[in-house]
Amino acid sequence: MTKEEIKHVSKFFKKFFILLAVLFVLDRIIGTLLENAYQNAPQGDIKVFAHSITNPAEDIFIYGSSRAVHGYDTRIFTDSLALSCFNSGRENSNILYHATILKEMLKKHKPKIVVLDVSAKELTWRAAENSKAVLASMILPYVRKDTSFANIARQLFPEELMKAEVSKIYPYNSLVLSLAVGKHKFDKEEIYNGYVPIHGHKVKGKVPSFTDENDKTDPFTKSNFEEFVKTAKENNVKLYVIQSPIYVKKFKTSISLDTMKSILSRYNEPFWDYSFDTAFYKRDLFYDNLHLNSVGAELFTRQLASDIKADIEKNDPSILQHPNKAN
Amino acid sequence: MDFIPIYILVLAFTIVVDYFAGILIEKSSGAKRKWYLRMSIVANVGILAFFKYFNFVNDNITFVLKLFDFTNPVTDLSFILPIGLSFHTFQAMSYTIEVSRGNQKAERNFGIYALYVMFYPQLVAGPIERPQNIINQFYEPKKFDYDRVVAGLKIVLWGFFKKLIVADRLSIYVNAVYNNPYHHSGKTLFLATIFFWLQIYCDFSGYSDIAIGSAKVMGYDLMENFRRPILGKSVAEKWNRWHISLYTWFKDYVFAPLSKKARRNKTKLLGLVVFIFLLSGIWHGANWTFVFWGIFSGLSIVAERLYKEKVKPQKYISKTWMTILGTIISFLVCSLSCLFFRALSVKDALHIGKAIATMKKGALFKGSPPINFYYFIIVAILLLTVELFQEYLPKVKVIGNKNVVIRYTGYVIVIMLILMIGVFNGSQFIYFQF
Repeated sequence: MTKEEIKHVSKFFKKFFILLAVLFVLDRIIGTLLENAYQNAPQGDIKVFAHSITNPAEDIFIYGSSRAVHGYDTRIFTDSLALSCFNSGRENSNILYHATILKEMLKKHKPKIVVLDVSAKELTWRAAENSKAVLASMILPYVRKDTSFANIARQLFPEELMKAEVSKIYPYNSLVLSLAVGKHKFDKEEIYNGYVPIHGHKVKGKVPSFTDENDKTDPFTKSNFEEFVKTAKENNVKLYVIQSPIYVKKFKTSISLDTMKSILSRYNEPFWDYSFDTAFYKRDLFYDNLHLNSVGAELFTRQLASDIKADIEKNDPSILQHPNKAN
Repeated sequence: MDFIPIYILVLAFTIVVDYFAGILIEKSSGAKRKWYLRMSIVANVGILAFFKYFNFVNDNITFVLKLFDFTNPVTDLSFILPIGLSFHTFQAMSYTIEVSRGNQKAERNFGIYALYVMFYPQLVAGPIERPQNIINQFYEPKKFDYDRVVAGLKIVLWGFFKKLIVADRLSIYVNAVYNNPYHHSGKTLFLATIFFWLQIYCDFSGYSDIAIGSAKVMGYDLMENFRRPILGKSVAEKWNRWHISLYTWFKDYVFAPLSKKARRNKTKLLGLVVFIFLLSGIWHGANWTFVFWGIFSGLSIVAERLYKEKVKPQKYISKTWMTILGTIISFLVCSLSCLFFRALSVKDALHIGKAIATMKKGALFKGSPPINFYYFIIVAILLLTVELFQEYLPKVKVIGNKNVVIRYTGYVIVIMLILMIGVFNGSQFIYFQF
């Protein structure tokens, strides 16, 4: 290497390290600001997730994807059963996400009832991939503080954990808008203990077919479903696994559904299928083909709450006594 | 994407054949010279055809035979397309063609020739280099040059911006809509189509920037592959600025020799333009959607040219308005042509085209959660703003600014943006599949 080259190399590394130092400092400053904003998030997904794992106190917890978020009215559960209720559903999530947060919640609080909404493709790899991304976006902000979340991240998405350990900004990747502006301002959502009603309906034309029902199940997702059922059972939490109404061409079953039913029967847990219940199979009750609108959600939740009440009164009336003080 | 060691033999075969073909072509003359060139081209195209088009052709034969109640005795072959096959095959062919034309000396050093075909920054997705531009550079001694390294890294950084912030972000919306086109309204499909044009541009040019920048860091200059095509003032100009290394390849090695024969015959020349785009479509993939994409793109250039010749819009509109309208209209035309590029089947493409043309009713899909929709808009605006500055105000520079504070602020902003809104889902570059 010539003298001139050595000069060039040292100039390069000197400037490179200055840039790295500036980046490191800014990463820490902006990361801390985002961390504070995250902890004080107004509402929406972040708040729902934080409540589910940090200060859960309700009697009933609802788990599921967007179909749970928009389909299970927490107010009706409280009115009908005189039990407090929180909807921990999350858009794009599947059982991988729910199993993780159920376990975290049970470390702090034991609800009386857990309702899990599932879809006919709950256990497929496609759903698992989405859910992993959603779970990563939710738990990465906690990995620096909470070792149990760090362990989950290490197991499920080690590369993401590594990035979150290097950069303080990275855990808040794609959350900046929600944090900076406030999700409610953008979405104008009403949120009732996690339940987000959607109004109106855009279901038009022919009733479409359901897709991916023949997708094979993902073994890891399947084991998470079993883990979810087992965890609820071991903690003496009354579990209801529900398939809520959908407005697509009727089909009998799917690989995911058969697998879940077989697991549930082993644990002697119920599976209630409202997917094509004639009471709800009406265009006007749906926002789109997979999501009930606020009218549909109200009707469906009333029916479900009534069915749960009947079941509890018959099999375990003690659940309806001594509600928790939340709400 | 899998690593299959045996596929190295495909690359090795191309290298060995073209290495010896180059020497034989140089040593021979007349018919023999042409024969060696043809043999080399047949070998290269043969490999490409076998891996890329065998199943496509066979499937279509099966379809036609079925119409007449016959069964096809030949079954599809089960293999994965070697990564970057179309790129290094074309690069290898440009070598033998240039040697036969006398523009390039046959390379005697086997290692250097192998490096020409396998030069890793551009091996899998171009730019498709010419031997005159790169082989000599392999002989030049390289030394660490600060300015060169920094210039290369800036290009790499801009490439990452395009890939991680724009392309992969927009792909979330595009995938959600195009994987389920029958459930979406006309305006949603239209927006997704526009986004796809921006996505594929940033995905591919992002890769090219990373390749060109990496090579520059190591002391090699690769050819320019994109020149802000979205701001081209006409359809023809847009394609002239798009994947320059491929289109100049077709221009130099296919269009130029054929157009000599078609000289003065306008119909034939315009037909050749469509033919070149058809070839380009087929080059991209063994699917009818690519064939339609090629034809649509070629026809849109022909239509534009005829319109300009017959109507002469420049007579009625000022130059500024010609630029503005030309840029916008050609942007829309090119976006719509990419509908065929992205659709999963011709049936889907026609449905999408119809839904856009009739503005099929329905709400605008914003994705889930809806707030993420604003990221799509933000990154699209960011890209257009930067490109507009690069195109029309090239003196306004941020990461290329002479002022150290502005320059470093530029680096920091781009890196922070990548951390904050970049998409890190490990998605592959679209052009790796070609």
